[in-house]
Amino acid sequence: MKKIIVIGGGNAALCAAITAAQHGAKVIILESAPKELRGGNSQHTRNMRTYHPKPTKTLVENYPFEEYYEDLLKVTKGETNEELATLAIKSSVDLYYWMESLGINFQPSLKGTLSLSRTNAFFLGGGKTLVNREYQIAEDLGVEVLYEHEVLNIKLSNNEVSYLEVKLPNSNIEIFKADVYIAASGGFESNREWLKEAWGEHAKNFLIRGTKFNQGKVLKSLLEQGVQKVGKEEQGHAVAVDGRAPLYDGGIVTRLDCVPFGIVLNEEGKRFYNEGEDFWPKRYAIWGRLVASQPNQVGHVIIDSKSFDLFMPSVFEPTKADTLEELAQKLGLPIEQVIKTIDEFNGAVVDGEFDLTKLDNCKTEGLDINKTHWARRIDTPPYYGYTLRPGVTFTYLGVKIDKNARVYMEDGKPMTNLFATGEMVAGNILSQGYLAGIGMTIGGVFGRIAGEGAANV
Amino acid sequence: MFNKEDNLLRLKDASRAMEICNACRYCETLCPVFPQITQFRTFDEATLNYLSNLCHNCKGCYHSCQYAPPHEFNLNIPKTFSELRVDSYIKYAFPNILGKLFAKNGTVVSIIIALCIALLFIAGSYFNSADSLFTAYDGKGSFFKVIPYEVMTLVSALIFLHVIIAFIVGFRRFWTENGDKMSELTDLSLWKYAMGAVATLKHLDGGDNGHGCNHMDDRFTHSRKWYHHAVMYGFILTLISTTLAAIYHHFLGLQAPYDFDSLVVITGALGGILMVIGCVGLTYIKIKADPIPISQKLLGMDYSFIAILALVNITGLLLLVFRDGIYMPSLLCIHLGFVLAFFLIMPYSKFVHLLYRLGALLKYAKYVKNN
Repeated sequence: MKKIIVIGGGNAALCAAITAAQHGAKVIILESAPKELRGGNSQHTRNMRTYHPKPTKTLVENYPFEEYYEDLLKVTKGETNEELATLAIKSSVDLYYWMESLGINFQPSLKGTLSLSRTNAFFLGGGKTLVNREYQIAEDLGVEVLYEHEVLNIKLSNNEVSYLEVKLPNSNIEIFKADVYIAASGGFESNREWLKEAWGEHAKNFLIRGTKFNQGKVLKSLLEQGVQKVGKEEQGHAVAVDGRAPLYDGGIVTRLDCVPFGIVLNEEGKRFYNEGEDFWPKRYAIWGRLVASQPNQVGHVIIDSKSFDLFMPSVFEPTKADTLEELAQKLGLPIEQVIKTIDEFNGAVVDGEFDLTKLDNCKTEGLDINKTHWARRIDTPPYYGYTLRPGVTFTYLGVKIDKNARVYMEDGKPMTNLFATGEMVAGNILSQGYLAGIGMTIGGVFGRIAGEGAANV
Repeated sequence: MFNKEDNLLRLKDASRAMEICNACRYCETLCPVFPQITQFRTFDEATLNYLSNLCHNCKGCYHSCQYAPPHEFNLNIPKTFSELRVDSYIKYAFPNILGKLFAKNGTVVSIIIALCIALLFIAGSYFNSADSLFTAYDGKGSFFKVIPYEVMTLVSALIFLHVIIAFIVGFRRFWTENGDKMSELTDLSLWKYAMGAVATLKHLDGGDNGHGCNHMDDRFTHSRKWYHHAVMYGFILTLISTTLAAIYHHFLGLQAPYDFDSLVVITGALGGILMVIGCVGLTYIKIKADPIPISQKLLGMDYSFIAILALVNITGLLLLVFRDGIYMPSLLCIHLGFVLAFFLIMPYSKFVHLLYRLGALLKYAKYVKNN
């Protein structure tokens, strides 16, 4: 019986482990987190972008391959691996039905996410329920799950994995060996030292939206031993989150959806980008980066009471004041500059018909940075302010794989007994930008391919 | 344990939890609580009391929650809501002073049971001949040779009246707390939805997919639903049995005990057996379940309620089996003692979950109708 070790415990790792076990292999999962915190970033996800030619139980209408591929090209500005992207998209529908056949439940798109009801399959109860079910299936198939087993090093020789150095729950280090290995242990977004190396000192002000266990140790170990890398260190998926979010695991509730309804000021009290460029789901991914490039990596959304009920509530109380002066003071912003910026903004607003369901004709004219939609004067107290910080979701630096999920060395040779999936390979398809829910698609599709490939080596 | 200060802390914690849930919404189709909260931005006491009674304690949201402990947000909705529910039971209880019984149910229940049984023994021997307690009787009307018909009827009627009044006042307090009017209850479509949900335990199905709930751990099962069905339908069967007996007695002139093949005995025995099975199953689930989403301090109340329900039925079944022998008089006293105790504490026991969950489902039906 073939022995396979899967490194990591999120959706990609579990899809790989389940598939390998279904093909008759003896599978061991090494998950660095304890059981209560298992599942990597998958436990924070809510959906999976899924190509489908006809409606499913929960996905409406259809989402043709061509449209999905175009959506991907738009966010990556055309830079993707066509072969792998095509494979991931085409296989996403099979992944959906495979999951359904395993008893994984989906639900219709959530309130306030209508724009995704056609493209993204939502997991009932979210990613944690998905991961719970996947662990149950894996265990039912005889997969052995070892929690708090952190892989520190993956030793290679001659295009082959020789063994793993694993830190056990009692902190001892032990050698683990198998016939085949599947690396699915995520990116390096939780490793603050590495983030600083990649993005500069200001990365200290970044919040990490997901698990603290994605330290990138396996990734680093592979890249140091001549495995071919894909993606750039400074690329990843980051959004603007509430500045008061926890350092790790803040997840979905820390996001702020109010940007299109107000203006965003930096620490100097000045606007720095068109807040009404497009619908928020299409733009929120760029705001992490926008805020990251401002002084002290902070932005402040200012809205008035007209807009307060228009967006998903935030988990943290807004700063509230009856005058703009008071609000600026409470937010610690230069009062005079804030008043000046808002006066200029209010003066430039062209009245239109406000309509949050479409790109409306409320805009400003004559400013250096105009707001092109949903622009309304900020003049109705009470005023509210929310502080934004960059929240990193995941990094794109990864290892090069082929359509069989096999890992490649820098010299162009495939490794004989190593496959990879998940965040670790997302950079093969996502060079930049992000398309909501595609991370789960990539992990699941290449997880299944890796699992089958590993069982048949 | 259940004082005003603790209640305020719990309300604050529940309000914080609901605000987090409202910003997440991953659980939206798990149960009615989550679509309902999207209608609110802030959560006052009336709303939280409603939501906690709408919660069926299925624990799906705990096992799905990315913010459950050890996360620093420390969300534990099933536990928070089960404690808040008891706070609300205490608040709605009539008379208010008896609401305190909820907090001390374990000990109080056993004392009440003991008292009731003793009273019945005394009543039995006082009104009849002194040796009646250990005499074998047979034939029609034998039960009344132990406890006179007038005593049995009067005591039962008084207790029944007390339960009805306490229920009506409690329900009214719950229903009107968030501003709903009693007149809205004349809308039969609300009853159709709510009674349907009660009859099928629709919300222990884990959402539209009907995969079940997380009773023990993160696996979905239907076990709690089936055991609850056994208790609920068993209870209804015994009510039918009692009603039939009353009809036989008053209108047909037939006296208890009734024949084994009579409808009274068949429905009563079947109901009793079902309830015992359900009680054992529900206890097993409580013992085996993951303890974190369960409020440990409420377990005493749950167990004592299940225990007395089981004892009512076990003693009833024993009475049926031994009704022609010398143990009948003492078994009758014991059985009626448990029955009386059960109904006496009914408005201050876990039984009221039926009342307020039905009310919450009626309120939810209103929300569904308007959206």
